[in-house]
Amino acid sequence: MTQKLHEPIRPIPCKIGPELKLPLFVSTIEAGFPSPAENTLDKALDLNELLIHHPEATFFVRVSGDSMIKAGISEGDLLIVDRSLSPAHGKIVIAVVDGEFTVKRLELLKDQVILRPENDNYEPIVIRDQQDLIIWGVVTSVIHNV
Amino acid sequence: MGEPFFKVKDLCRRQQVHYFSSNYSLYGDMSERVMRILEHDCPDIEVYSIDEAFIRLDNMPVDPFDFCTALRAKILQWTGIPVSIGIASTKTLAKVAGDIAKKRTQNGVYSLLDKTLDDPILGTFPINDIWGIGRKSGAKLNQMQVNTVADFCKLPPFLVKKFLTVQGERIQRELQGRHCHDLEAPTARKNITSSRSFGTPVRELEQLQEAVANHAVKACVKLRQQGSRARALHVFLRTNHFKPNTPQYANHVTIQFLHPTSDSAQMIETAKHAIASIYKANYAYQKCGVTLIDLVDDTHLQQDLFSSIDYTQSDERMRLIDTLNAKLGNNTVFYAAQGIRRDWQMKSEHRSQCYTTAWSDLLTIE
Repeated sequence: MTQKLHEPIRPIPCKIGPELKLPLFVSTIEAGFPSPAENTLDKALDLNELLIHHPEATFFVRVSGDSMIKAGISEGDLLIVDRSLSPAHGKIVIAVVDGEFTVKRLELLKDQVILRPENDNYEPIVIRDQQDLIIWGVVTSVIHNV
Repeated sequence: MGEPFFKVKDLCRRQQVHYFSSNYSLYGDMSERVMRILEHDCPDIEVYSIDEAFIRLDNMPVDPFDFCTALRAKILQWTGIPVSIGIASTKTLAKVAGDIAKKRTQNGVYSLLDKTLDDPILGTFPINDIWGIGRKSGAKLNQMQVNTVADFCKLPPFLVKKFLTVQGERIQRELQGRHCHDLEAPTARKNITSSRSFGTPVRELEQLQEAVANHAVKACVKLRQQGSRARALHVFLRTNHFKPNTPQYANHVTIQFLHPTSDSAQMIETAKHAIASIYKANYAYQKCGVTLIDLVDDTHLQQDLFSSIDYTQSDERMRLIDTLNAKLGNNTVFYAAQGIRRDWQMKSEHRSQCYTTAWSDLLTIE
């Protein structure tokens, strides 16, 4: 393999912290033909890595009812909620309305906030001035058992 | 101060007060989240207790007040926990600033960096509330007409040393802005304690032995987690010293092991013998506990070629039990000595759910 003089050096991203994890390459460098597995990292796939990006701000909740069925959220499903994300128009959020928790799609309009269900049998919640609203966190994933 | 719940039960009902039993799983998890956020953003941190930490700011290129304001906002958003942050040039002053931040500010952050002892808020801060000044020291100082931080700092150092020892001297220096306590690096614990007050006073030895067996197991789990073994076990029991009209008895004993151990079974046996040796009948015991002391790092033991002790079987057994309990729940495998009913335990009749540590306890949302 010829080494180009100005080949760009690509740093391997790693987390700086008390423990520095570096990727481990499986094969040693050998003279001869490169192995197809040479560039693979020796690590099992981890769902936590896939689904949880801010562990300190991530919470799980269980769903009851079918108010969000058209969004793929069913009774009994597990929701992964990330409090570090900024709530935005169109996101599915956990909201607390007058002290009650609910999961709905957030609509931030010019002069109104609406919590919209994803089921034609339910009415959207239009937040009135006197009501107490907290956006508790943003739903990032749904875990549905089949 | 605290009151036993049964004394205020009716008042709570009448005034519609919500009440909860302690939920250490939830508190521990929330605490860990907050501490991990701090660790991300602050390279130099000392976690002091379940709800307190010291962080060093002078080696970071940030404005301390702005940094802490942003940090507080981040913790609040990420976890929902409102923290108070006190900024100062020493640990002792930082704790004062934290107290002021908690009680007197809107945004939860307060800095003493540009304040001197002439400042009215710092100067009039009660000396009895200062970190390191206990009830007795506080009373001694009050008798000498020393009631505030300003009063205390006016005392000549030799007098402080005379009445409060070298510790008191350090406190005075820290209050004057000269720091004595550096951040402590996280090390393996030098001793491990497990103890708890009883829900209802215990009179029988069997129940005490059951309780102490549980404490021994709990402490051993922590011991194994940090890769240590203990050379000695300390056991104590006592009656309720808040009820001085009742017969009082307290005692403790320390037992040394022939070889350092982290084996739960051995710890239970020893603890049971230990408590039997100090037990006296006809007393209403309020608390007991164990402390594992004189800890030694397991890796150092393994490297000792001349060690005659074979830990293999015991370690394998412990590893199995720890794995099962980690996977299937805390009490999946337990020793008979720990008992099944455990009537002496803290009553948690009104405990909130373990929202963040038990799948069965998740919040359900519509």
